[in-house]
Amino acid sequence: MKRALTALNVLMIVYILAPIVLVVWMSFTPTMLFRIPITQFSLRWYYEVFSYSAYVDAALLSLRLGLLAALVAVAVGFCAAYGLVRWKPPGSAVLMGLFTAPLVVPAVVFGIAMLQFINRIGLYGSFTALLLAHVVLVMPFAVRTLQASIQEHGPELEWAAMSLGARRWRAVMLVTVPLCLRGMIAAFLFCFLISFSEITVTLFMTGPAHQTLPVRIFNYVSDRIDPTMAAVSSMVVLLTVVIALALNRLGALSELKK
Amino acid sequence: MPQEGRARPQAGLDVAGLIKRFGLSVAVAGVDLSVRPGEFFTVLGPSGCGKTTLLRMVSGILVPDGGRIAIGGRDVTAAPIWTRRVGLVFQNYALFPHMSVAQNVAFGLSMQGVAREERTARVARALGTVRLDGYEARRPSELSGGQQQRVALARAIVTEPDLLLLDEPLSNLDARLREDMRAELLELQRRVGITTVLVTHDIHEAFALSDRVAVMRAGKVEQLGAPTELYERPANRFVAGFLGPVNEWEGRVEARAEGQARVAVDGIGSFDVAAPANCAVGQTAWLVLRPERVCIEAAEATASGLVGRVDHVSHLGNLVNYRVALGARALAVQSPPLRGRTLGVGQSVRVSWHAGDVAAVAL
Repeated sequence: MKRALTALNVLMIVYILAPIVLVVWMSFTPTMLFRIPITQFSLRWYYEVFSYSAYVDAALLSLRLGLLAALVAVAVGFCAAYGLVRWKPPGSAVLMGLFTAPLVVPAVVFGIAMLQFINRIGLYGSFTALLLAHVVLVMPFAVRTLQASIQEHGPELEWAAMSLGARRWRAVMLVTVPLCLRGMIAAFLFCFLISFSEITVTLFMTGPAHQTLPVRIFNYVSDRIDPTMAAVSSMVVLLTVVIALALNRLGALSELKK
Repeated sequence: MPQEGRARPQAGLDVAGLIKRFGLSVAVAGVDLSVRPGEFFTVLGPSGCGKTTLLRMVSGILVPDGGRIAIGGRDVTAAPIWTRRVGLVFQNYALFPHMSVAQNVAFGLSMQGVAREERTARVARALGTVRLDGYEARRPSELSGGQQQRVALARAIVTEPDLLLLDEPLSNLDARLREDMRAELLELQRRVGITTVLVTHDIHEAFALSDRVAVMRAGKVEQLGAPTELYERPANRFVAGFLGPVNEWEGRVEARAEGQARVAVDGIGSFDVAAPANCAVGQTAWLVLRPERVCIEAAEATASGLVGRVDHVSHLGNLVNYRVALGARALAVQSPPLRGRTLGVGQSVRVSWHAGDVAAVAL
């Protein structure tokens, strides 16, 4: 019985990891077509990726978008989480639901809605529109992570600081923010990760001018198939793994499960 | 220990008609009290009586729904917390965990814009006051509970506030340390001479430290006075019972003359006591008697007192608690262990007390 369970576990892990391993493996073949067994090792497709400016541009755009969206979400999300935790305004449960709504609303629905909204206010095809959509999308991760982080320290620390002559704003900046720094870094990485790999909503928002990396890969694969996308995917996987490890170190993954 | 010179005169605290509601419940229902400059004042009460809410309004954390607060004669009812010049110490210490001990203590001085050299000197002096010289570079997490609380005290007094507010400051410490800290706190308060308000549910803490105590229940002050006064002349049954075990008898007023009343209790006798407020002949009155005021002896050893039978004995080491059956009544008695022999369950005893130890209380 125990042996059967172990076998099942191994099978499941193989099932989860196999596609990723395969893609990474594929990215190192020198040939156009993927053949098993592999006999040669080559960085040819990585070279191809970096010489194909559409990929590089898309990656830079994704990077810029992800960093900015994460920055805005953490700043706004901190204010929101602070207000919810410290003041518990009437209807704060509803507000919290609102902030986390993007997790529940189907991405396609949100994408169409956002598209219409952006069109209406005349921002279609702009980077701003893309940024706005991504800020909304990543906000749940920022608010949830920061809420837990602020809750960890009671209001006494701020009271103590204020009794010593610090105005509220100063007390928050000198005491609460430094204590929530881990949470803020975690929230930032989370948001970046979500934004960097988001595709559904982005597909609706992007004109030809602003194709993020996932959108570019998606479009590329619709046309043809060659190992360059395996190389791109491998690099995305590497980035994701690095960020996930960092988040794990910050204890943020378990925080989100609560 | 050098005397810290106070730059400014001591300030008193005046609270009038203070009210605070949370939703439909009333946490503080009209409190009046005034704390004299330099006094160690304690607000004592069971949890949920509104004492912490009262303290939070005085410190400026909460805004009252009614009433007035003045510190040193200055009305601060609507003043924000950072303008009130109060030192706050919490049960959980509330030290800034990301700062060193010195940075913690220096925080208030930095906010006041005190120059670096003076800051360092005053931090060192404050740490000396709480006997933590040389701990400047430590982190709060490296200190024991007692040390953390001393840092919190140093942080609160280094800015020379008008008022020191202590919210259950010793409750997180273990029993032994609590007693040491109690003595230290009292000595510190006397030396610095700062007007202090302590909030606690611990009777011993209140009695050991305070010049005066206000006993609170359900958002109101039940009685205010010196500890011994409260203990010996409780105003009502709640105060009597809250301050320690007590025998309560329901009696009937038989006669009354200016300030005095004669109250009869079935099966025990009649007592002349100071008349409780608005008592009339024929009405019910409550009498209280502390267990340690009762003398207990074996029945054959004495001829005076009421005869009863020992029902229950529990030894506390330095004291013995008895429950004595007096007819249908049970009387709690506390006395030091008798020399030579002990009184066992079932033994016939005589109990007596000084007439002046029986007090009448309001309902």
